[in-house]
Amino acid sequence: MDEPRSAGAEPVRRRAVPGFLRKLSSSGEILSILIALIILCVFFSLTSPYFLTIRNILNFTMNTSILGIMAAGLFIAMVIGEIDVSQYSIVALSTAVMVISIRRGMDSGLAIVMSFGIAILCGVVNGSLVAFLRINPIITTLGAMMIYRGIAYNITQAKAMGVTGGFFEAVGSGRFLGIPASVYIMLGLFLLVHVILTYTAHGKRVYAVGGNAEASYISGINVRMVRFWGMVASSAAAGVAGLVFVSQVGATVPTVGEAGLMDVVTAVILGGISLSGGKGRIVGTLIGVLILAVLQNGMVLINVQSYYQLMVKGVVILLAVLVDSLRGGGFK
Amino acid sequence: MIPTIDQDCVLEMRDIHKSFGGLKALDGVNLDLRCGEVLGLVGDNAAGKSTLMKILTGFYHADAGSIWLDGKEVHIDSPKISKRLGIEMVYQNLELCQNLNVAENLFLGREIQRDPVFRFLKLRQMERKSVEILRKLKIDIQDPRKRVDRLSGGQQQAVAISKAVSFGPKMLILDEPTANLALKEIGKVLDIVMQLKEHGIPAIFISHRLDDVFHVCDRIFVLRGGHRVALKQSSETDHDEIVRYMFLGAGEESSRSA
Amino acid sequence: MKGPTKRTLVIVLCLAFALSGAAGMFAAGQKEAPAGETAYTLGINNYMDSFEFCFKVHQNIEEWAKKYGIKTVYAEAKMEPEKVKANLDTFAVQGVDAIFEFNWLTEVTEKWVKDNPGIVMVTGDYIVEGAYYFGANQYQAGVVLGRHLAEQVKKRWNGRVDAMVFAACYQCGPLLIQRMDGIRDGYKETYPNYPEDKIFRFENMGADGQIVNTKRIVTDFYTAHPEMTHIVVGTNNDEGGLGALSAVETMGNQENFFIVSHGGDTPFREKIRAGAGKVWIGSTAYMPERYGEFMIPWLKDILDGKDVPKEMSPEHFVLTAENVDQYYPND
Repeated sequence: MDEPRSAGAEPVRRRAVPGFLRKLSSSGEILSILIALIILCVFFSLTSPYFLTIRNILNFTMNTSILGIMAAGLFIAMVIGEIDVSQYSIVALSTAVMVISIRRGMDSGLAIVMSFGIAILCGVVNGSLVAFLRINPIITTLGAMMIYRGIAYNITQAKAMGVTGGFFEAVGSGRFLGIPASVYIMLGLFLLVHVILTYTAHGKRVYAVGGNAEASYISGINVRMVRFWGMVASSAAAGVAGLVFVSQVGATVPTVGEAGLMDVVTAVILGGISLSGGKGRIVGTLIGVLILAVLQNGMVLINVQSYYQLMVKGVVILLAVLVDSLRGGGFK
Repeated sequence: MIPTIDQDCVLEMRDIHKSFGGLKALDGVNLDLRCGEVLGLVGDNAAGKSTLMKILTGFYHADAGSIWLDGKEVHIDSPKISKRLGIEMVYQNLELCQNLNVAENLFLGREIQRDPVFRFLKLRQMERKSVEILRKLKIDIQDPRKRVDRLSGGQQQAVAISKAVSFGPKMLILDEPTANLALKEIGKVLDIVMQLKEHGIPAIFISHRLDDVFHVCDRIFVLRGGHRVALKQSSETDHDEIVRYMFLGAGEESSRSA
Repeated sequence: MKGPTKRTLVIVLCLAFALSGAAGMFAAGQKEAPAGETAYTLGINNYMDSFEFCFKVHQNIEEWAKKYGIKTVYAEAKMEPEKVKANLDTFAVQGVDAIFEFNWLTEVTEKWVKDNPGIVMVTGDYIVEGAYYFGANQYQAGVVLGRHLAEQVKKRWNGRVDAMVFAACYQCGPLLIQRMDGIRDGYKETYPNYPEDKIFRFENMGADGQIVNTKRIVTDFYTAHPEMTHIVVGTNNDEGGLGALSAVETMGNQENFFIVSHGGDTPFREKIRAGAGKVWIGSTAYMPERYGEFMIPWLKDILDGKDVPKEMSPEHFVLTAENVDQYYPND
């Protein structure tokens, strides 16, 4: 505990070091997972000649952007203390409706907007159940996940459906300065979340509700609405991720994400979020996403047998948690 | 933000009754709070202190009785209304967000914003104002960007009180403000409470630590089993007498106001 | 946890990670080409090894690739569209010459093939425009089975069949339906006048699983048609066959049934070795353990630029109680 100094207060210290650098170095959690990421990159670049090539790096960042976009949205919900496992199902549903509509002659632009709208609608449903009816978010989104997935299966007869179009070409294959469009979208979303959470009252309230919902309520914050918008943010991100997904693989696939369901949550947790809410930095989530991407890519490159891949993934996660705990962090 | 001394009498709770099912929690309680004073509210656990305060802060409704603020009757139907009337409470568990810093906590729910839509914050201004608020109460926290969970218990208490005060309230209720503090921190918090007097904010000081009560309070109100059993000037009584009132009730007449 | 203990744990975990990575590398598929040859590289994008069929396919392809001096790199995608694409991209980065893709996501693979024209794509058991096809010829497998059925019907039932009950996963898609159509058409080569309205089709995929559902279908059908004494049950895989056999054994009227199925897999072989061969008269072998044997030589020809058909399948034949030991002596 600090000793309070005597009266005769000094003026607030000027920021000699740029704000974000100071924040980075003062945050042990971020440093430890950054170290983990660097160790991984060093390891793979030593064991495979292909890993550290521009083409490969662009590939795996592009291919992880779907996960990354969802993680950015989920991060907001998890800071509030909620969780959402229905994101991939929302991807399945919103893209299914979009592709079917385009195939039936709807204008692509309209269909794309509708797809995003459906994702938002799913978020409204989730948010209402969690914020207004106060149903536990895990149970809510587990149930929602099955419902959305079920509808997606129903309308597609469980079959994937291809789609083409200018928008999808641009997002899927377009590049600017050599970097794929989906990477820009992902990074842009991370930046947006960072700005909102750091510089706006909306963002402060997200952290407030996550840290102490009662105190927030007493201070006049509409806790219910914050929780509501948290769930909507998560599904909105899923909506965007769905568009990127269709652009990259050229189709809506109703089974999308069934095996990789928990990857998004894993990425956010890896990024140092506190499970009960209130703590976490969006840059940590980005690092978490990259760790998973590097792992997946690297293990294929060095031809690790499938049975080892799961084990390695688990070890890395444990490592990150342990290094963080060494620095005095850890889940409360 | 911090008002100047106000001469009118502040709060009067008349003949408050409250029952929960068959249990009578408050039975015709009369309480008044004068401007510029700190009123100690003591009593054992079932005395009804928190019920009385919850009625004042709008969480409960009294079954009978009335509340008067500045000479006008008021109906406190919700916590929001209570706040709007200028009644601020510092809760026992502080109700601070541990994961936010001092400035963010002081401005929780009423951040200084640039625009109403995106609500971009004027962070520098918030930090500057925080320093001002803390200085007014002579609290020595240098950096308003420090996270609350890095502060000592006493400093956190100071922040909580500053937050309540910064709304410019008519009166303050302090619920066990020194309960979990180390000895040398208690002194600091009590100093802050004395500062309140200087700024003309009357306060109700709830505590089971009679040393502290006698240190800062002008009058002491003893509640027992839903009744007021004593109301004394602190200069005219002592520990033992108060303890007797708390646990044995009124031997003599209960309503002797000073 | 105290500092030193934590540190030790971290070091141990780092070592574990390093070791597991190293072990993984050593356990990895063969990467070195025989000296002096510019070897081709084949990327294998599998569904998952824990699925027995895919595991056998994977093993056999690796074996035969080695024999032909083809390097392999391996990945799994678990039918995840994102992973499929990511793995294919990673293969491309590593400069593979050909890819064997086994995740059955037609649209995803099709798009990738369009975007990556320089690599030879062989899709396993699903058809993609612009790619080579290797896999079962579902229809042909059915035909072979139907022919065998006709033979047995002629020999033991004098050509009499009261009903054909097809219990299959009709919602699984057109390829599986071809298995059943093949049975019918193969049978009708011998008995062209067999009436369509004596073929009864039932969906056997559902929450209870194909075994239980098929058993129920067969039992209920027999109960509803007590006048029928010569019933053929056809299923699209051995699970269905197991269910049918279970129904027949429970009812105790083996002489009234012939069961034919697709798969020729372990459950079938076990049952007919145990004496069920008079009822379960045959199952078409799909031979996942010989995929490599048939695919690799053909692939090598493709890579060498020779003119070869765009489709290739392993040989299909019917496994029976009589020939099972010949084909699977090591079971």
